[in-house]
Formats: sequence, structure tokens, C-alpha cells
Amino acid sequence: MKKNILILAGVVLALSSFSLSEELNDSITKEASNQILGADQAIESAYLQLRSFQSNDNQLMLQEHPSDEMAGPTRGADWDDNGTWRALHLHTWTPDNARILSSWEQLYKGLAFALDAQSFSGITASQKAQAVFLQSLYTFYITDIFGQVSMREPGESVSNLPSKNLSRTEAIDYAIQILEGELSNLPSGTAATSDIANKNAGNALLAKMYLNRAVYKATDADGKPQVGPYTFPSADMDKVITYCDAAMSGRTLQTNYFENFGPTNGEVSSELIFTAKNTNTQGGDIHRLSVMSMHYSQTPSGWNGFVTLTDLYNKFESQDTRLTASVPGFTDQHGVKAGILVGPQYDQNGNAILKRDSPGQLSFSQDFSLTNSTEEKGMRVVKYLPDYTNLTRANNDFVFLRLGDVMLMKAEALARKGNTADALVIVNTLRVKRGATSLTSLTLSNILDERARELYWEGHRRQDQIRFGTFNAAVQGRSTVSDAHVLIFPIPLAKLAANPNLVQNPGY
Amino acid sequence: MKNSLLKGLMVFLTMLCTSLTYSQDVSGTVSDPSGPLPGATILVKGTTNGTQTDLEGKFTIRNVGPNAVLIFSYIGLKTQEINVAGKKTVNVILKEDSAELKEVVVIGYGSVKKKDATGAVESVKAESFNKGVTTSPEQLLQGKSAGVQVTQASGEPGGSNTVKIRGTSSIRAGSEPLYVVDGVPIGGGSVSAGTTDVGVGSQTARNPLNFINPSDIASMDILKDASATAIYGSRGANGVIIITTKKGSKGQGQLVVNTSYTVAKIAKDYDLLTAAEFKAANPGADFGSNVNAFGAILRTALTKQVDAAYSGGGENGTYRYSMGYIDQEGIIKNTGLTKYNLGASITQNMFDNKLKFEGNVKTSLIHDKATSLSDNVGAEGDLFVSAIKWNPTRPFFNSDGSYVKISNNQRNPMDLLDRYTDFTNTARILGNMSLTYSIAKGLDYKIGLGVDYSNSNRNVAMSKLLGIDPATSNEGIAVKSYVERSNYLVEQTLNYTADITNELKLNAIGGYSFQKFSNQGNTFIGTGFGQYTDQKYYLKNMTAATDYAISGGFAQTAYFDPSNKLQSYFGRAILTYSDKYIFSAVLRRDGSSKFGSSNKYGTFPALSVAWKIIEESFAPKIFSDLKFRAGWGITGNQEFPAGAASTLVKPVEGVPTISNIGNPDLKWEQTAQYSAGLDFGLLENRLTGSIDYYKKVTSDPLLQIPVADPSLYATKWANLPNTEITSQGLEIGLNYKLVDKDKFSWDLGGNIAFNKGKIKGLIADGYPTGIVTGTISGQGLSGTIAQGHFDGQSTYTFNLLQFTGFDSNGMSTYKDLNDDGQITDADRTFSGSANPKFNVGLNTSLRYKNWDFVASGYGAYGQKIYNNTENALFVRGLLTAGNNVPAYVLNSDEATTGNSNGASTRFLKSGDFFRLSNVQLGYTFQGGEKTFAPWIKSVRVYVTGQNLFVITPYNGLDPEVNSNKQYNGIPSLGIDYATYPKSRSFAFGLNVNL
Repeated sequence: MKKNILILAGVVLALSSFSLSEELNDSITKEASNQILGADQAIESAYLQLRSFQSNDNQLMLQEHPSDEMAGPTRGADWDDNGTWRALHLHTWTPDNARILSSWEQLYKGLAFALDAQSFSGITASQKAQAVFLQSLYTFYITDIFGQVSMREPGESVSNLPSKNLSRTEAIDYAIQILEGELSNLPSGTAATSDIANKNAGNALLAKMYLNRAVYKATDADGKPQVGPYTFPSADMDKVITYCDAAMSGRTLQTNYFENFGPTNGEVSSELIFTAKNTNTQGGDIHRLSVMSMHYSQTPSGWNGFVTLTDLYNKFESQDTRLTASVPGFTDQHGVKAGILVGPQYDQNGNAILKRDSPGQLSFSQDFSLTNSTEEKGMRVVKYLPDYTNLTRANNDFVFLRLGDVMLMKAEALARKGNTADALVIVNTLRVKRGATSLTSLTLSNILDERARELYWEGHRRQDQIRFGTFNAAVQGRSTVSDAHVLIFPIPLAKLAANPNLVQNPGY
Repeated sequence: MKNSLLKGLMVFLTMLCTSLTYSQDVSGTVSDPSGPLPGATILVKGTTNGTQTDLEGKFTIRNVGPNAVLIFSYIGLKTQEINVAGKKTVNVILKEDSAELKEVVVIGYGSVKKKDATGAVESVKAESFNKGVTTSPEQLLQGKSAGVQVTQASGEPGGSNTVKIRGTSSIRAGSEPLYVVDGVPIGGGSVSAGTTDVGVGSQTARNPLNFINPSDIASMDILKDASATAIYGSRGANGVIIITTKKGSKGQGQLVVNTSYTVAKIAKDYDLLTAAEFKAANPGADFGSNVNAFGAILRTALTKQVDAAYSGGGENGTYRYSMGYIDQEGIIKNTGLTKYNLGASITQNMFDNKLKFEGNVKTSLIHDKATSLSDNVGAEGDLFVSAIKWNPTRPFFNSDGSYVKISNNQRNPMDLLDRYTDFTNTARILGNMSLTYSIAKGLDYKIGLGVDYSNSNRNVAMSKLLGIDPATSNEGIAVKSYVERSNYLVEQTLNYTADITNELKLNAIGGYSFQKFSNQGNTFIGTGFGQYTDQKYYLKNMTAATDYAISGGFAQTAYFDPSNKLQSYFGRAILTYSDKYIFSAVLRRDGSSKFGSSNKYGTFPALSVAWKIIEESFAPKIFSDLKFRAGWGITGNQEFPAGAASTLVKPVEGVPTISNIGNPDLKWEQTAQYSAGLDFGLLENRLTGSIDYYKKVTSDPLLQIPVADPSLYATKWANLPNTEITSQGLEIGLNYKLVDKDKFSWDLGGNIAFNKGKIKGLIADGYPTGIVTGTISGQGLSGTIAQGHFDGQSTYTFNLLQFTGFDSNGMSTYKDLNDDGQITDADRTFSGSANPKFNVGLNTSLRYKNWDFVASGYGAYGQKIYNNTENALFVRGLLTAGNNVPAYVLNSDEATTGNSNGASTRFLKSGDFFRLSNVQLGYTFQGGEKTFAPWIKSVRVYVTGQNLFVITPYNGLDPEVNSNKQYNGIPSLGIDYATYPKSRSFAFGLNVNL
């Protein structure tokens, strides 16, 4: 009996002391990961985050739908999407708008990767400067869209609340200051290497931040944005001019405007300054930026969604090459034109494209109703030409900054300083290249319109309209003047809960 | 038997003590209705003088006074008292105890008689299970037990069910009860792969419990309250279902063969427009043909089933071997399930009954056939959606015999049926073994080992000829997904049973267990199959592919989840005083590798009492049984992903991808439950029943919450500190034996369960607008979320615009709740919950001579159902657009074009229903000597009807529905989208008993 009990006791003990340590299996800890992967990988990861800008769900939508150049009409049992697009165009969004949440997450995730890269000990000076460029870029976008910015130091633990909470007036200076500190460490580059944050990109971003700085500075202590007109300090405008000059060096305007957005834009365009790279083997969803607007019966089959406004369309002279163009290799092969599509639509053989819901040829109308449009309502835009070699993984690079934008920024700064003569020269240089007639005189309003023609659907319009004071005005599809508080977006509710140091923006 | 030596010793001692005062011997035979009874106990009343019968049922008891009373007892038989009255020989036949009194319920690490149970536990035995074709055990329980709500999410063979015991106590996934099969707790989650979205939406995995052959199950015991489930500690909060498989019993070998043949058809069809009606309504879209596309994807489905079991036992052991085969066709073409089961279970007593061995092995092989059916397909449409909206005037075939192709948003259902292949093979083995060593009288040590392993392969392919997306599947696509899951269990218990005094009895158990779960899998994708067009061939030769990636994704994904280990210490003591007062205490301490470093172990206590009022002299005479129960306990829920407490980096194609932010404070969800109940019997237990009241409060609910930005990953797992989910309810179960005669019996049973769930504290935890779920699918409905958990509301409350009809232009109008002149999100309001207010179950069984009849039904009332199918497909504008719709759409005042189908209460319906779920009529031919077939014991033939009718105001196909419309990992409830239709079926079956 004793022996039995001893054996039993042995069995009991042997089988009653297992380890509870966690085996991570397919994952590794962050510390181990940092040791295995160096700064090169961290920088690459940070760059990959830039692809989130080319989504039809993120901040590009916040910059375009509320403006005078994009709307998302509901088409019967199509495109209601819980009223999300309508709310953006009507300026009636609320803090639980899905696109506002996804934009916040997109921008802050990118910021986190830019900060994480800086925490790697083996980082080179050039890599550090590139990571800071990205940090500055995200900080600028967050300042522009949400006002206040939560900031962490590189390597700071996420178990704690962020160590810095920057008001809008602090955030813009912070974004400028960190980039100016690293500008000289950025690598040099050409249009063909515009996917790397080079000196041109650094200068262009600084120019853009100085140009808009007055808008962000005009924010009350409680975060309430002031409606313009804004006072643009002369010193800021001088900085814009200096940085624009540096950003333009080595870049020339592309003769064929739509080549800036074609599948090989990264290879052929001479005016690109900063882009996010896509390839046919590893790329994002940039095709969505054209199929989101194209009709079902076009090639490739679109989603029949977003339209542009007569506010934009009527700004063009008919001969302006930016308005619409038949592009060889596209229009003759697949029927689709580049630019704004209006009126009857044809396939590559000149045959009519038919409507789906009712008999007859598809013909895009200038009018639309936000709440009840039929399938053919509203003018469409194809800016990023479909890459027919791989439609869903297109090679087109997403353009953040390019020469046309920088030229107009410089012209605007000159004009705001009162030097309309030099500004007119720049604007006309651009216009002539784009096939439009030269202007004889120049007002700020002309510059805003030129920016519309040059940069439509590229994600600048809301910012531009705010800077020029036209954002709250009525446009096609919105007959009322909106309240000043919509100049910045609300903080998503979930994010307020996660960080008690954030204060909801006034008016929400 | 193992105690006979000890008993003998005691008898001997007793004799020594008592022989001085008495001298009369009494002897005799004790039998039960079938013959002599060995091992029956005989005791002289008021003394310790007693003995047991020998192998022939004979006994002799010495020193019995002339007027002494002898007590004859045997487990499971009615105890009898007989006055000796001077006789020297007393022969007794012990009768069977009434069924209710001997009913045993399994309570986890042991069992008790139902009449002694202190907690809310219910045992559903095989004979009460639902009849007809069932592929998964929880369907057997539907409507059988108050407070157990089983929702069959769809009519798909092998599809999943939702089981809720006493309402909802979690908001994230993992709120299913814990299943324990033959002592082995089964890990939560699916054992088979869902599918990668290859252009027709993603598809859900199969039901993980399908591997058990329902005809192998002896009983399913449901532990409802915390006093019962606390023995399972951090996994007990959602209730526990203990599945016990059939074992052999002593006696000659017995062979049972069951076979059945079932025919099923769609129970309710959509009243879609015919070609003629469609043409009249939309002449512009007339293509001249006449087809019924939805009808064309349906079929009359046949199910063949055979199972056989051979069982028996000798003096020292028992055995049972079983096999099962079922081949079930689904009513949608190309769907179905074929399952093979093999099982063995043996018990063996060794070394003079000092050592007992028990072993069970259950194996299964399941072949699931599926087609393009999805819970979340959008504008592109799966087979169901494509067929529903197919213009009935459009032919399927061109004049050259090729399929008519229209667009990515209107696929030809015949084309899709033909050129889409989806099947899954799942093998699973569950085995357990235990040795019990009897250390001393009443003291047993048991060691058990359990292994559960499954391995599943899902194969999905689309032919290049389908041309769903010109960029990818024009080239053909094949996807193979592999999932391997395993868990092993080591368990040791020490069980002690003793009569401390005559009046006070103790039953105690202490134990240790360790369980480890693993989960891994991978997906391999091939595209670009060049000239090869047969998608079935793609799956046989993935190397025929020229490319191995799809849009925005990777060719190969693989995962191996962090380990999930659970180490536990547990104990339970049940004290019975005077057979009137029963007190039970449970304590379990669980340590989990999933918990954060600051909360490695949790303690889960429970206390409960029972008072058998019937044993009191003052018990009202009207009662034949009366017991009061009350209990309290704390249990947990730890069904969150392994690794959730750690920051995880998973390199994917060389890129380190953060998949979680760590939280060292992470712990289980905690549920405290108070409950009280009354078990009663009236009219000599012809009317029996229970009434239970409970209140559950779940605190520290687990959720993925946002991390303060900037952060590399947006969320972490955390316990919400202020949020509480309460669920309270009343359950009544009744059973009435209307007739209880030898040749004729008739039972009527019913149950009703009221439940009210509420969540509060969300605002304090930073969710002023709730935690939302319920993604509405369909064209134009992106980003629509219909449901959520809102502070102060019932769980699963719909939050919608209030539809007020169509205006004169046929446009939808809604209530402008904030009077701002616009209809925006701010005008949404709470519109009812998907939780039923009460559930009912009704059963009856009737036996007359050799005839038997059973019928069961169940229902649910007070819940709302969101008809996402109608929202996405059945609006007037879509008819104009060339889609087919049900006839009622024509009669609506909706504009023929231009009206938005935005989500609103327009599509929210009452989900009340009562279903007659199954009816069976059988006739038994007795075999045996003097009959036509002496080698047969009995043959029973039967017919079964399943899902004979549903009474409901719901306008969809079936109100018992639960499409998976989760959002951010929060499950939804009560949304109907393109749900696989339920069938009505009739079966003919044969049971042969040899």
C-alpha cells in the first residue's frame, strides 16, 4: 500500500506542474522584431503606409466631397451608403461618420510608423530625415483636418497617453520646425525617384505648410476655427517662395497632362515631386480612384458613383487639355477618356455605351440630385487612367506633390504679397502648357480657379477653398452656407474615449 | 461490487457486536422484476445491523428481533420496509424507482441525482431528442429546455447554430456555452476554414460540433446557473453543455441498426414575378424567355442515413462500438454533407475492482459540399442573390448553348453553379482515457487524459470561364485552406464519499487539470490557369497556375496562433443533512497563458443550497415532490484570442506587421449569477416541473478598444471597467403525464423562458453612441450599421431611421426626430432588440400498444428581425433596373425609380414565430421466441416530418435566422441576408434491434 501511494504521489506531482508561459508561435515580440529587422525595413514600412492615401475611403474623400468639385449622389437602390457621402457634401457630418474615423486611423497609423522608424538605433541621417519628413507630412494633414494633434516621441510606449498634445496653432509650427531641422539631411532626387522623400519633396511640403499656416493660426484657444479672410504674414509668403523655388529645381512640366497620372507616371513624368509607389506586383487600390466614378458599362466596369460639379466644369475653356482628353492606348483601345466625362459615352469602336436601368445611350448629365439620381446623372472623372495590364493592381503612382501645384503655390504667395505681375507670368506659363489662353490680369480668385483646373480630384480642394474663404459657400448640390465649425472635422468618438486629453472640436 | 469486501467486513463486525443480544436469523431472496438481485442492501431499521445479497440474490441476516423492520434497498429501485413479524423467511421484489427520482444529472466531474441537485441543471436524454435529420448535437436540444435558446442560423447542411443559455452575457465573439464531450472540454471556435473572398463574398466556416454522431449521444446535460458552472471556472459564464456518449451495459451483446431515407424541399419560397408578370411590369427589360432562376438552383434533396452500434458487457467491463453514415443533400444544388463516424467505448474493472479503466474514441470524417453562398456579398451577388434577381425573361443560354453573361453585378446563376466548386474535408478524433484507483472505501483517485485533434481542408475554385473579375478570375482561381486544431488534457481528481454521521453525508472532489490548445493553418492561392478551364482540375493540380496572388493579397497566408494553456485547481463539497438539506460549495482557480502578466490566476467560487421540503412533515400534502434551490456563483469567460495580452509582430512577406497592442492587465470577463428555483411534483408526480429565477451580472466585459494614437496598431484587448451586462429571467418547465398505463401513455411537456438583457456603463467607458454591429450588405448599402449595444438598452438593439411611408412622389419619408429639417444619422433611434422577450418549447409523446408518436415545437416572441435581403433586393427601383422582385413589390407606393433603399425601420420586422419542428409516428414489432423472427428483439418503423409549419408575421423566408453580419469582431443578431432557405422534410426510417 505504501509503495502504491508513493507511485501515485509521483504520478500526481509529475502531472500537476505545467508551465503557463505564453508561446507566441507565428508572432514575435516588438523588441525581438526590432533586433531582427533594421532601420531599412522600418523606413520601408513607413513608406508603405503612404498607400493609404489612395483609398476611396480615407482622407482624400474628406478633402474632396465637401468641396466644389466632388459629390456622391444616391442613385435609387445604389449609393445610399448610410448617407455618408451626402453628409460630407452637405457639411452635416457627425463624429461617428465612417469616413472621418477611417481618415483619422489612416493618418495616425502613418504617423506611428514614421515615429517608430526614428526609434531604430541603426538609422542613418538620411533615413532619419526621411522619417521626419513623413512625420511632418502626417502632422500637417492631421492639423489641417482635425486641428489638434496627439504626438509621441519616437519609441514612446503606447501603454501611456501620448506625451504631447498640440493645439492647431502649435501643431503647424511643430510640423514645420521638425522638417526644417532635417531638410539638409534629405537625399537629392529626380522626378523618377519621387517616391523617396528627397530635398524637393521637403521644400514643397514646407512651402505648402507655410502657405496654409495663417489658416491654422487663426484658431481660437478653444479650438474653434475662424472663417477668413486670413492674414498671410509676409514672412510666411517669403518662405513659400523660397521653398517653392528649391522644390521646382530639376522639374519641368509634362507636355501631356494626363501622363502625370497614367500607369507609367512614375517613370515618364518630369514634374513629380513626391509620390507613393505602386507596381503591378505590389500595389494598392489606386484603380478605385477612377472606377469609383465610372459607369458599370464602361471598361473597366465602374461603380457608377462619384460625380463632379458644374462649379468645376464651368471653369474650363473648351480647349484646356486638362478638361478631357483622348489618350492613345486607352481611349482607342477601351473607349475611356481621361478627365471630365460628360454627355454621350462611346466604346473604343465608337459604338454607344448603353444604360443599364432603362433603354438608350449612356449620357452623363451635368445635373444630379444628392438624394435621388438615376444612373446617368452627374459628370464623371477619370484622372488616374486604368492600368489595363493589371486593373486591380495598377502601376500608377499616387501623386502628393508635383510641379503644377508648386508653381501655383509660388504664384499665390507672390500675389498675396501684392506681386501679381510675377504671379501672372507663372500662371500663364502653366496655362499655356496646358492649352489654355493666357490671362491678362490676375486676382486671388483666378489662382483658386486655376488650382481647381490643375489639381481637381487630387486631394487639395477643401484646403484650398478654406484658404481662399469659399469653403462654406453654396455649391451644386448644397444650397446653404454652412457654419464655420465645419472648417475642421470632429474627432471620432472612439478616439476621444481612448485619449482623455483630446477635446472635441467646437460645434460637434 | 468493489465495496462488497468492505461491506462484508462491516457486517462481520456488526454481527460480533450484536450477537450477544439477539438470536433469530432471517433469510430470503431479493429480486427485481427481471430476476434475483445481487448486491441489494438489507438493514434492520434503527440499527447498524445489515447485509447484502449474494450472487443469487440470497441473504441471511442474524439477530433480528421478532418485531423488527427490515429495509431493502438497491440503487435505482424503490426502497421497501417489511415487518419481520416473527417470520424466518422474507422474499421481496423491489420495484423500479419512479423515473423522476432516479434521474441522474451530470454536473461536471461527477453526477448527482436530479432530486439532490442544488443548481439549475437539466438533463436531456436521447429519447427526448428532436427527431429527424440532424447533423449537429445542439439541434437535438432545440425547444427542449427552458432558457436554452438554439437558433439554426440557416437551412444549410452543416451550417452553424447560435446557442444562448440564459441570454447574452458577452458582446464580443465567444459567447457560446462551453461544450464538454465525455469529460473533455472542447475549444471554442471553428475547426474548419472560412473562405478567402475570391469575388463573391467570404463564407463562414462549418459547425464545429458536427463531428459528433447524434445517435451516439446518451444525454446532454445543461448547466445553467453559476452554482453549477463554477466548476468550469473561467469558461463557465455562458453555461456548460455536457455531452455524454452512449456506453455498453452488462448483458448479452446487442446490435442496433438504424436507417432512414429523407426527402426535403424548400419550406417557403419567394413569390417572385413570373416572366409574364415581369414583362407586364417592366416591358423595356423583356428578353423574351421564360425562366425561374431561383427555382433552377433548388432541388428536392435526399438524405440517406445508416448507423449501427454493437454493445454489451460482462462481469468486469462493458463495450460499445458504433459506426454512422449520413449523406445529406442540401436543397440548393451542389450543397450537402457526407459524414462518416466511428466510435468505441470500453470500461474494464481490474484487480478486484480496485482499478477501473474507461476509454472512448470518436472519429469522424466530414465532406462538406458548398457553392457560392455568402453572408456578406455586396453588389456582385452570390448564387442566391444572382438567382433571386435574375430577370425571368432572360434566357440562361445563348443560341449556341453557351451561358448568357451579363455583368459582374448580374451573374448567370447556372454559370455560377457550374463553374464554382467548394468542398471541405474535415477529420476529427476525440479520445479520452481514464484510470480510477480505489484507495480506500469512499476514496477514489482518477487520472484522465484527453486528446482532440482536427484537420480540415477547404477547396474553392472558379473556372476562368466564369469571368467574375477580368483582372483575376478570368484566368481562373483556386484556393486551398488548411486548418489544424488540437487540444490535450491532463486531469487528476480525488473523490471522497463518506457518511460522517447517520444524518450527515459528504461527497467531495478535488482536482487538477491542464489543457493546451493549438490552432494553425494556411491558405494557398493559385491564379492564371491559362488554357485549363475545369476548376475541379485546378484543385487537383495547383501547380497548373501561373500566378500565385490575387489583388492586394498574398499567394500564401499562414498562421499559428499563440498558445492557449489553462492550468486549474478545483474542488467541490456537497454536504447532505438528514436527506433534507443539501449544501454545495465549489471553488476553481484557473491560470491561463492568455491572461495578462498581472492577472495570471482567477478564482471562481460558488455556493448553493437545496431544501427538500417534501421530506418535512409539514410539506403540503398536495405535493408529491417539492424542493427549493438557491445559489450564487462567479464564473468567467476567457474566449478571447490567445496572444491578446501581448504586443505581437508578425512578419508578412518580410514586412513586420503589428497585429495587437499588449495589455498586461487583461483578464477574464466575470459573471456573477444569483438564482433560485423550485422543483415540484403533484398528483403522485404525474405533474412535475420547475420554476427558476436568475439574475446574471457580467462585469469587466472584454473588448478590443482603441489605443491612444499615434499607435502602430489601432486597438488592444481590454476589460471595460464600468460596463455591466445584466440578464435576468424566469423559466418554467412542466411535464404532465396525462395517461400512464401499461398499454397507453401520453405525456405533455412545455417550457417557457422569459429573459431581459440590458447593458449599462458604456457611456462611462467612452461609448456614448454605443458599440455597433450588424453590417448591412448590398448595393448602395456600404457602411450601413443597423444594430448595436447602447447604454441602458437591451443588448442587440436596432438603431434606425423611423420609416413613415412613401410621399406622393413615392419617395421614402422618415421621422425628423431632431426637427432640423434634414434626415441625418441624428434621426436614428432605438427600434427594438433582436433578443426574444420569451422562448417557448412544446413536446408531446404518446404510446398506444406498439404505436408511438412524438411531436415537438418551439417558438420565440418579441424579437425584431432586420430583413437585409428585402433591403438589398426587394425595392421598386431594382425592378426598373431589370431585377426580379417578389410580387408584393409591385403593389407598393414606392417610386419606380430614384428612391433610396437606405436602411430604416422599413425593413425591420417582427420575428415572432412558432414552429412545429418535428413529428414522428412509429410502430414496433416485438421479436423474440414464438414470433416470426426469433433472432430479432424488435423492429421499429417510423415516419418523421420535420419543419411542418411556421406561424409568423415575418415576410422573409424564415424568422429563425442569424446571418453573420459582425462588425469589428462584434457579432450581430437577428439579421437575415441571403440566408440558405430552410427545408420541410419527410423521412422513413427503420430501427432494428438484434
